Amino acid sequence: MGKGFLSSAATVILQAVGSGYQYGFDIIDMTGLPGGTVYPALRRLEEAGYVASKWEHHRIAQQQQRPPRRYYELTREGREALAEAIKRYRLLERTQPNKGRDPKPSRA
Amino acid sequence: MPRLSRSKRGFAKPHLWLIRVIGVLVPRRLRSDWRQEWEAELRSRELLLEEWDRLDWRGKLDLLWRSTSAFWDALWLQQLRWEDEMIQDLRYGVRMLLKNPGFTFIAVLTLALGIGANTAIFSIVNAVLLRPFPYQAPERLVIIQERVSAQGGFSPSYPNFVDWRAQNTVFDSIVAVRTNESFNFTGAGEPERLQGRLVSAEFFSTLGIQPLLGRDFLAEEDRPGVTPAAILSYGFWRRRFGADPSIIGKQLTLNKQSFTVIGITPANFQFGVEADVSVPIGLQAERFRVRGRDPGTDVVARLKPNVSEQQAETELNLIAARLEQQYPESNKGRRVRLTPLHESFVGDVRQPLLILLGAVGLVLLIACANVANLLLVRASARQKEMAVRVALGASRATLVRQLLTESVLLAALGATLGILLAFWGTSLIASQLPDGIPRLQEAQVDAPVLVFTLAVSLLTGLLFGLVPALQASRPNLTEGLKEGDRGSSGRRQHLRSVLVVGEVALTLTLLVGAGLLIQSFRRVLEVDPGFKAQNLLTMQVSVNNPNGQQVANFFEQLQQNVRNLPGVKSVTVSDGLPFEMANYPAFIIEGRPVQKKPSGLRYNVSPAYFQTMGIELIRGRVFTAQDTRDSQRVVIINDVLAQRYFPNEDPLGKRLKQSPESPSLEIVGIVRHVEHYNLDGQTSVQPQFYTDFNQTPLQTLPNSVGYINLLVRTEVEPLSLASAVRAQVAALNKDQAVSGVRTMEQIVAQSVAARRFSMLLLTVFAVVALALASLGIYGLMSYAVAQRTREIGVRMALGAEVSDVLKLVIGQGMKLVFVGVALGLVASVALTRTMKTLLFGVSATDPVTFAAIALLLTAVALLACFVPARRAARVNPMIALRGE
Repeated sequence: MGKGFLSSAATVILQAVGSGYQYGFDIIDMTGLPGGTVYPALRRLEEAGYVASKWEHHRIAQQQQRPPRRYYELTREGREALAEAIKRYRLLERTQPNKGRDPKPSRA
Repeated sequence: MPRLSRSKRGFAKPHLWLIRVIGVLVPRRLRSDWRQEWEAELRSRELLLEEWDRLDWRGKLDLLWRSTSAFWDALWLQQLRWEDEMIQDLRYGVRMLLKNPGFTFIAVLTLALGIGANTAIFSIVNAVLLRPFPYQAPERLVIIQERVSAQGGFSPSYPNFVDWRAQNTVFDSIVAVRTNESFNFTGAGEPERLQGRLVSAEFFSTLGIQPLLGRDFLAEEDRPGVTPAAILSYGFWRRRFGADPSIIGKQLTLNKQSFTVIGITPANFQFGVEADVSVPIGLQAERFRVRGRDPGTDVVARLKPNVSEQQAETELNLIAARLEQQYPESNKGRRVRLTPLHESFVGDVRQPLLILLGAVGLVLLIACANVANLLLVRASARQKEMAVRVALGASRATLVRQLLTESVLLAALGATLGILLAFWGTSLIASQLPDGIPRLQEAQVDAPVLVFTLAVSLLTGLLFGLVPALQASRPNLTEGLKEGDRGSSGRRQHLRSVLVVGEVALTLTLLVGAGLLIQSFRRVLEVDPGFKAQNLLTMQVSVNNPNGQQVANFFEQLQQNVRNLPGVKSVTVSDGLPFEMANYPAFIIEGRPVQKKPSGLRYNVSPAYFQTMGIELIRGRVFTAQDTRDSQRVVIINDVLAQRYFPNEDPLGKRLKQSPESPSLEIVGIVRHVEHYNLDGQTSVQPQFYTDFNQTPLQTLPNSVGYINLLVRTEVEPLSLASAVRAQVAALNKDQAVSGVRTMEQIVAQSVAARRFSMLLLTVFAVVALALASLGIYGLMSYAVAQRTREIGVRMALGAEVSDVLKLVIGQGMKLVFVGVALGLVASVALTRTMKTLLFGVSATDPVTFAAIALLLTAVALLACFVPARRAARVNPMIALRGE
């Protein structure tokens, strides 16, 4: 994926990460997107530099008696791309007042 | 951290186990991170919900479902693989294959042959047998036939069909269809005889077929006396009308009657014999009025949902029993049989195709064995390489992975080439297949076929690669690293011998199968059809004149004109033709009870028929010019009829009738029986009788059949006279359609085409197998000789003769061959039983065939051993020993 337009799913995921959902499963729960979409999208976003991943601090995991989780956060670039994408989707919404509240890709 | 060490518990939890499995897909350098991320996610989700042991099944399923997303994640990561070991293996594999171009070429070619042949045959099996028919819910469609005994079945009469339709409660719809009808199409350019189909109004809707253009028949169009409507086939519409959509609503002249074109069938529509045009059967209801008399009709029905075939058959049999009481004369003992449509269409070709598929599978096995053999040889050559890698710390798994990568790579190359072969082979095989196999033209290398090929080639790669890989990956370090090694260990040689024995056994089985088919085919061709097929030209001349006198004059004149052509010996006309069509009416023997009417094949022929066909007259006389419409009507019967119905009396002078009200026919001659349906069936032996074309009542002449066969016995190549004969027809009447110009030999050949096809194909496979197997034997022996050069040198230095060396080497090879032949004979006995129905005049365990094939294989194997043996015998002891 280049750094061009974000797909609607990528925008939604970016937004989820931006609003504090840091783990894959939480993003799935929050967005309702299938895992088969979320993970590849996260990898793409990470490759494009819009999100960065880090390992959770060891101690937190230890307290909960589980391995440390990998969490994702927005980069500066990601924040800009998100703002850009939201602007564009708002515009789309306005030009098509009756359609497309739910940006589902059409199955042509 | 006791709870963190979950490696032991991982397998108790299916979601963690799944992550481990999927993790194999992830490039190794990313794998541990990837695994940890997923395990941590799942673990924390588990904690969030509850402990695993306390989770309800819904929670467990949720976790499991979530873990499957890891698969997509892992798949996406594939693109980061380039530095991974799998790619390294591949690169290394490619380098190794390029380094040994000879080996690679042979192996890939062998595999391509095997995989290509399998793909081609599978694409045909897929199109003909596996793919559902393109009708709506085809599994609910059945063919209904009548029967009088447990076996067999025939088309019911139209009135019976009408009663079934009225009285049944088990079908959504039930329709009549008569294929193979002919129509003379005139009034638009060149006249043409069309293939037609008579159908009930609901025929297309029963199959679930929508017309491509226009509309379906209406119920009110399916009866006599209404404006005739016709639906054209896509092919005919394109051919004659250039796919012009404005044809709908236009008029078409068929059999001098005007039909309105109301629709076009979809391009891929097919039902039984191809038909250019379909018209309602009700238009000709008059023709089918007599119950229990041919011509009958095929019946197709769609079962109601929740009605089984069994239930439907039971109900129809009840109806049939009622009809029997109502019409004892015609319906005595008649019951029905339901056959699924699919079964009825492909039942005959299933077995030959499956046998071919099995045969081609054996060829692939042999190809695998050969490549495995090559790999084993190569493994010996690479022993040092393996030893070095192990010495440097490679694990056995690493070596096996590397070697398997190479063999799968070989298989992939073979498959690529094989698919190209299959593209070409499929159309070649399809063009060789006999007519009338449904949906053959749809056979092509398409997605399901490619999936099949992919699976086959992967399997092949593993099959021929695994054993050599396991062998090669267990190198003996001290042996391998030594200079001037003796190469193969005894074990490896042993394995190669087993492979060769297997190849020989499989090849023998294939050869025996092919041999039996060849024998059967020869026997079939030796069957005397009762006529002389050589130098006989046939064609069909349509009759489209309502004036009987003119029809009679036309054919009289035509026969005369054609007889005068140079190269023509004799000419005759006939309404029926062996291996083609003939009526099968009932007849009455005068002076005998009318209740039990026998039936026989009836040919209406002109006097020169017997001379032209070369049918032997046994007693009495043939028709002459003195037999006219004004003289006593006469008939000629065959020997079967004579023996069956006049066993103890002289039939000459006795009289037959075709129906109580028709004139009586005096038997004036007895001729030999003629095979009518095929050369290889018992069904052909039946009563036949001949009436005189020149005595046919003038009023029935135009209606009797749509066309008359013109037969010309020639002194020259028959087809060379075809255009001259056609010109004679055109000279008499330029609107006369002529079709089916063929030689009688072609017609006979067509009747054995299916047999010829399976014989040819199986023979080709067997020959390929033989070639591969001898290559295998040759390879093994050459290698063995190369290994034993020093030993042979020593033997010769100690006084062994050339013959001793030959004996030694050949003996070693032939021992394997004999074991293979013995195993193959046993396997053949078991396998040839499956092809019993394809055989004719030869038993499935025919000792002559078995012996001949065993000899042939032994001889070829001997040759394959002899070449390396001679090389061994030419060893110069001095040179051989110098290496020591």
